[in-house]
Amino acid sequence: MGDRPVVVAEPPPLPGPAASHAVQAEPAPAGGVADRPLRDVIQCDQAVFTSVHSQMGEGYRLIAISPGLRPDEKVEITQRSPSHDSLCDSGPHAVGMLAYAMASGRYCVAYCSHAGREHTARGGQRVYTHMVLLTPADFTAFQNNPVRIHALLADLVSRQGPMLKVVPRVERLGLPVMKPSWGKGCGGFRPPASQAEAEWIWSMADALQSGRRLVLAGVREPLRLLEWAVLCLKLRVRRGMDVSAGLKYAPGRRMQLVLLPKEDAQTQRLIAGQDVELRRVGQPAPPPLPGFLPWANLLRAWYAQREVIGPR
Amino acid sequence: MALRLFSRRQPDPAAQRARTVAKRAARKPEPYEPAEPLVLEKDPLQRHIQLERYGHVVRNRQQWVDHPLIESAFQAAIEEIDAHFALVPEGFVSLSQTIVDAPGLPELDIETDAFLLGRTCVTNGQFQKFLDNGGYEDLDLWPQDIWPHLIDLKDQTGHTGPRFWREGRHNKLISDHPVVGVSYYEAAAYAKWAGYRLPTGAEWQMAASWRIRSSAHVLRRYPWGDALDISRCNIWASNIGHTVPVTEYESGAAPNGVHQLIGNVWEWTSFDFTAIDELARTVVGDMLLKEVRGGAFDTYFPAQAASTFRTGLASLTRAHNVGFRCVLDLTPSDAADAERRPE
Amino acid sequence: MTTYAEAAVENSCLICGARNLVGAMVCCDCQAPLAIVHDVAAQERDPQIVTILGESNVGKTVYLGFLLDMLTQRAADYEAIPKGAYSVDLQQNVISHMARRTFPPKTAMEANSWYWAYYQIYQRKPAPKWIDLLMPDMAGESLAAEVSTPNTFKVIRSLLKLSAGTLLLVDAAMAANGSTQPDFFAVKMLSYIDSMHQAKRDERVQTPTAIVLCKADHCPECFDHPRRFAQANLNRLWNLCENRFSNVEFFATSVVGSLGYATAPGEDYVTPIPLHTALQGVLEPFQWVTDQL
Repeated sequence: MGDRPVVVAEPPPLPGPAASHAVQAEPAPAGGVADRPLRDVIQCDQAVFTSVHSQMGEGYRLIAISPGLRPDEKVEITQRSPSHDSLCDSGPHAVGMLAYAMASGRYCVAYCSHAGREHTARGGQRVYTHMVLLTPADFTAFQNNPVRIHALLADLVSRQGPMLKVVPRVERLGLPVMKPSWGKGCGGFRPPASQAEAEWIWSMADALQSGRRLVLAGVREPLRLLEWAVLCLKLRVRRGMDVSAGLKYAPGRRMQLVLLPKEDAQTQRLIAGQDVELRRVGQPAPPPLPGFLPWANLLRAWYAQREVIGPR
Repeated sequence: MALRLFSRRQPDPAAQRARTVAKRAARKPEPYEPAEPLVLEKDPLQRHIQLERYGHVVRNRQQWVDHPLIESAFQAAIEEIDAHFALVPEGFVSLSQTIVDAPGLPELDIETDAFLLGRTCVTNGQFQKFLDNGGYEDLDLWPQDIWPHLIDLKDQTGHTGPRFWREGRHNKLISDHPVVGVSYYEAAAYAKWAGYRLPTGAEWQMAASWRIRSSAHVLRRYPWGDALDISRCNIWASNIGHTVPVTEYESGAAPNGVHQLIGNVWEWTSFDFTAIDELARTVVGDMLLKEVRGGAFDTYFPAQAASTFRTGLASLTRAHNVGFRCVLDLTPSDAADAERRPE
Repeated sequence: MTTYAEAAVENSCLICGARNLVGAMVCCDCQAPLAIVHDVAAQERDPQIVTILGESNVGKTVYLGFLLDMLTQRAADYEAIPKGAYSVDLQQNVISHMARRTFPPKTAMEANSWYWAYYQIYQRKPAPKWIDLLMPDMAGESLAAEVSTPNTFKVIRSLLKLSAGTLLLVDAAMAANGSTQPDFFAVKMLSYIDSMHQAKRDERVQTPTAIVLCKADHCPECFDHPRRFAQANLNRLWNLCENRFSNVEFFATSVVGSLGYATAPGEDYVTPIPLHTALQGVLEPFQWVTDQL
């Protein structure tokens, strides 16, 4: 798995009332980040990409940015953000997630949803993307877990509503740093529902670990599974992963891991001959590479212990 | 090795400029010959006949009872009406209420009385007479709320008249083409001036679908039958690209000899256009929409030129592809009934 | 080479030149359909690219869809044959929507969702000739982003560099209502093209460029004198054309004969409804551009 000594994380706590308040002892990466004092709120740059009509333009573009965004970051956001009909679910309550390492060195986490009808009324919903950009240090404060940050953005948009007017300048966004706990980002701690699901989680983590590109179709709770896969990874691996959930596959987004609710012909066509693996939940997961075996055995043992100890 | 198959001829700037200049010079305006003014009869009754105001003569016979030529004028008017109008028997129509046409969607059933329908659309030559007789200045022919807009009803040279005329004259080379570039109000004013009226949407559909009362339930998609035949009408697929004389396409006439209900020009009706979409939302326009029927020479979808297709156009639109034809009621009371749309 | 990669073979994209693996259906870089490569290789003529440009919501998809459908129905002196089933998708999408009195859906910014039309076109007059044309339908927002920051979407830059002719669609209705947005977008678009050619100050861009004034049914005077309309309502564009483009012509076009709006109480949006079609001036800009090729 690597030629450097790895600090093995303690296994996650067992399910129960204490689990939601348990403090997870995250592995301390080499480099001294663990020496930084804990902060309550982290200020980070934010941006909104959606479709509005204004005097200056029409359609999908960046309509709100905080002053720290660099020109090259704006370009990359424009290239990779979802536009019309990009969410897998066409309903008004569809949600998606986009998280990727930017060329500038920062990490972008985006919350994607529908925000009313497409404003020219040519059918379909308006896709709304609200994103934050985090420095490596800030990202570490969230254990490099994009699902957790996505949950914070979802809460923000839910409380304040989407920003649907051009705002030339927005202030940086303060994200509260939560004490680490399991599954906070996806509505509470819920372990893998079955051995097969756990195998798929390991398969996702393996793909991210090894740098392979994977499209996983038939995923019903993508954020929950994704967070599990993320938590299987070292912090430095999490910092470089490009993942999306709930968004249709688009080669231009350059995602490493794409989670889809179902397979479709368009996805098959787009990934044909592209060095992208397509897997379907429900089929047997491929065996993890040998380097990942210690992790798999650790998690399998824990899972087996839970089965012995009591009901989920 | 990348394939570079796209070839671009190295441009010759001088040759390109020469081609562009030549094309602009070659794009000459269409030939135009202004129609000569009509020398009007001195006698007012004879003048009405000359101006083809046959409906006006017939309706106002009592006004001329003491005129020495009333009998011959009345007879002439009747003969002309017989030549230019055709009887549409009573029947009933189902008007689609939604903008999409599908089985099971709401329809409005309307019964129509028998009426006389113009065999052809009103031509440029006929409309010229209306203009020359002061039709645009006679405010009695126009609704009061339209009076401020009369000043905008100008032709290409700023004279009063249909939009594509010049100096108040039509192009006599197309004197027998349907007059276009007229708004709904101009069409209605002409009809009133001539002693007629515009057909209702139901009447128009009755004439085109020929849904008469009989033991055989007949409903024609087109006046000649159910299959589109581009040799019987002037729509986009006919590859004409402009209007044709109103008497062409005789094979596309309705059973009673009414020409070109389908194609050539859309036709104004007196109905307001009302419709809902598939979500039951009301469809409105920037201003009042009046119902137009029949399709035109540039109608791309044949289904939009069918007898049952309803669409609307802003009432002040003066389009290149919209004309009209007139109705003469069999009895004066029919006129009032026809204007009332049943609940 | 990863576990999932096969040996790379000569399978280069016609648009951007990127090498693709065997079996790839879209280019890994610009997402253009690679079927074009195979279709082009089977022909005897080199295809030429005609780009349809314009800002979002100007009507590029509708215009191109009707144009292609008209050509395949032998409109005027043309006869068009689609190469590849993918070429028919655009016109099918447009025609099926417009026949049902709805506008087609918005074109997404993601290049993999763009329609690509590859047609062989036979022109009977004035002199019989065959032209192979490749016409992509691009999203207006992608064009705007590329114009604002070059190389945001490299596929657009590649296409414009290869372009043998251009149709720039401009919203005449908005311009007639006094909005300067169409004028500014058109100027930005042409300035981008101008800068790409890197012509000296006294040299002008020679690529045939048709300025197509769309939605002209809202302002009929467009049809009477398109050049005069552009000079009066799109003066910045007019001046740029006069100064920097040597082969420009102005046209007016309209597809919709009458526009309605569906609305319900309590809704904060209206849905535009194309009540019926009345095609005007759709072929002329295309005729002019192909005459220059």
